[in-house]
Amino acid sequence: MAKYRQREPLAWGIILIVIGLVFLLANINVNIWDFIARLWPLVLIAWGAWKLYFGIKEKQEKSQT
Amino acid sequence: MEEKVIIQKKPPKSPGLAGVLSFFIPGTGALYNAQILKGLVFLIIFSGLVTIQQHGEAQPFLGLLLAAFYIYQIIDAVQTSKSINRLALKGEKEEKEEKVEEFPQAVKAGSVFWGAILMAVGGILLLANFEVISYGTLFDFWPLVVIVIGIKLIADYFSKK
Repeated sequence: MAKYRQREPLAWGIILIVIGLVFLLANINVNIWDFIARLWPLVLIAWGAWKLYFGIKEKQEKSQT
Repeated sequence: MEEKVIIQKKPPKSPGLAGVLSFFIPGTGALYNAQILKGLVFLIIFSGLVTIQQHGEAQPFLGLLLAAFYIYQIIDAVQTSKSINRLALKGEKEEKEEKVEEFPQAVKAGSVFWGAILMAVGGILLLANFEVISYGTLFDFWPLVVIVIGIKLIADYFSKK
């Protein structure tokens, strides 16, 4: 449980970078919201990649011990 | 006579109030729980999701995304204030302060199965959004959901054995 909490700064880092990029692009570009409306499943993919990465990592740690 | 002075480090939170705050303005429940970063990020994400609604031609999942996020942040505010109270009670007895977790464990936990599923669903929806495949054909494949759940149950049975 403690090990899960260590991951929180990583998650916040990713979230803040994405939000910062979106609003930065919205300020300088034009149609970023149209793109986000199409690209939002990337959030699911990123979440899936997160789970896959840590899932494989946990399995490896379990098999090592 | 022994007099006990109870000093509470953190005042207990009211889960109801946190929920009501989140209900009216998303993110304020987290702010009330002293999760400043989370509250602000929730507020920004919510406004972003509202902005998206007018863009992208009539996607069936955009509204659902907004609804899911809106409900999630209400439940999260209530659960967080409950766990703050729980930890405050524990802290008085054990003098040990723990930090409240900012994401539910189900969100953070690693899982090969769910990771693969999420990436597959994300990829399919991405293709549908760029009109490589149509949402019409996508919905025809709904029985796959039942099949995948079945496979998961069978796989769990054999991996525990």
